[in-house]
Amino acid sequence: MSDCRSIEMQDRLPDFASGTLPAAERSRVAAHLATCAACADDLALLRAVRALRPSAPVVDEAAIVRRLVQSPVVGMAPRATDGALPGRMPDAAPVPRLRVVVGGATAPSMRAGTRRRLSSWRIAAAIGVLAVGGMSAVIARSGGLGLREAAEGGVAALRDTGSATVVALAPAVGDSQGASAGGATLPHPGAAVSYGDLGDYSAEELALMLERLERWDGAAAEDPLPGVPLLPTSTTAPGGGELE
Amino acid sequence: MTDAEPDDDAALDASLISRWREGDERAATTLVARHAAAVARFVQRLGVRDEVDDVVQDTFVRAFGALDGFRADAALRTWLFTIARRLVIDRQRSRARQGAAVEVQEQDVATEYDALDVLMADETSRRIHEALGRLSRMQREVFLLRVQDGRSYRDIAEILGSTEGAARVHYHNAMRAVKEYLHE
Repeated sequence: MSDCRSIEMQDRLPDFASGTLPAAERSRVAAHLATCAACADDLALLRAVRALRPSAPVVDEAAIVRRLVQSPVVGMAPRATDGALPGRMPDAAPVPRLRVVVGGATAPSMRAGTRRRLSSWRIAAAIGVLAVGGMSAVIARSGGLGLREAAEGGVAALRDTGSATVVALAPAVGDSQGASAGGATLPHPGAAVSYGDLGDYSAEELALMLERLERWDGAAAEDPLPGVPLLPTSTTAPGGGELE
Repeated sequence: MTDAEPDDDAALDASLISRWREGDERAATTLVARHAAAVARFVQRLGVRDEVDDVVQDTFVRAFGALDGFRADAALRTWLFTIARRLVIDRQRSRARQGAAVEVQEQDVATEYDALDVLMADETSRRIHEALGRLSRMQREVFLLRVQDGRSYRDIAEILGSTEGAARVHYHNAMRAVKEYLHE
């Protein structure tokens, strides 16, 4: 038994055995094999090892796709802050489940009067609701940060940019599947939201959020927050009228 | 998928990922079809028997949930293998904890080589199987990733959390050990 002196050729043999070398490279290795008994023996061994490759166990690919499509965390990846490299495995800890609530019932405050309704819709257009687990975070978007950016950046990103303030937290209204106050869950990868643990907010921050929300609609602190729908920034109010 | 066609495979995967993120569910179907079997085979080779399907599912769910951390110029399959391997190790650690309070280090986690599911058609095949079983865990993983899965040394290093140079050394040492055993 002797080894070929060419490490380069030895390194090429597995790819030659699998038939994946480019044509020019394949020709070069084939020419070498014709003159090197050691590499020819090695190639035979590699082919025998490949022949031992067990057949892939049966995998229910449809079930995988269903789970990907239905999973509320799909597309809602935690943002890597250091330019994550491939192979950098996501944290083993489960990602908090997020739901972006789209559409839905009109909040009670939006039903009273045209002017007030239009004003409320304007406020609603600036508010995104993130349902996180059993809580809803109501985010006021005061700057130019779009809802998509908000969805993609998450509450933490909004806080960090200073372009919005998380103003309230409230138990999500609706069932655990994502519907909230009649709203529809949008399992859209493009509406991905990455977000941290709500427990990161201090008691003072939470109190400030509730206080600001109360100033907006006059609701008392003990009143449950309405399921404010997440609306696109449209100039057309529901019903066809134009916003002021 | 090997380094022979990195541009084509990486570009196609990147395109599919992009389409998925834009809402195209068919892109997910294609991505799963492209990689699920290979991931399953890899998971099985790590010693998983009855839960291969579960591990493969978890791998894809975790991968799709962390696409922000994936670089488009990297091999998606390598990334999937990396995730799958960590999931298998986590499962084994969990089971080890259930049996003992001793913390299990990654290098200590056994990955049994038990490919006797494969029908030993002849004496040579049986001898090769024995030779592979005598390799160290790292040598065997490197060797099989290189020979059976066609992964490059760079991909292997990424999957196993090693270096390209170490992967190359492990491969050549494994090759030498297998040849020595077969010539005994």
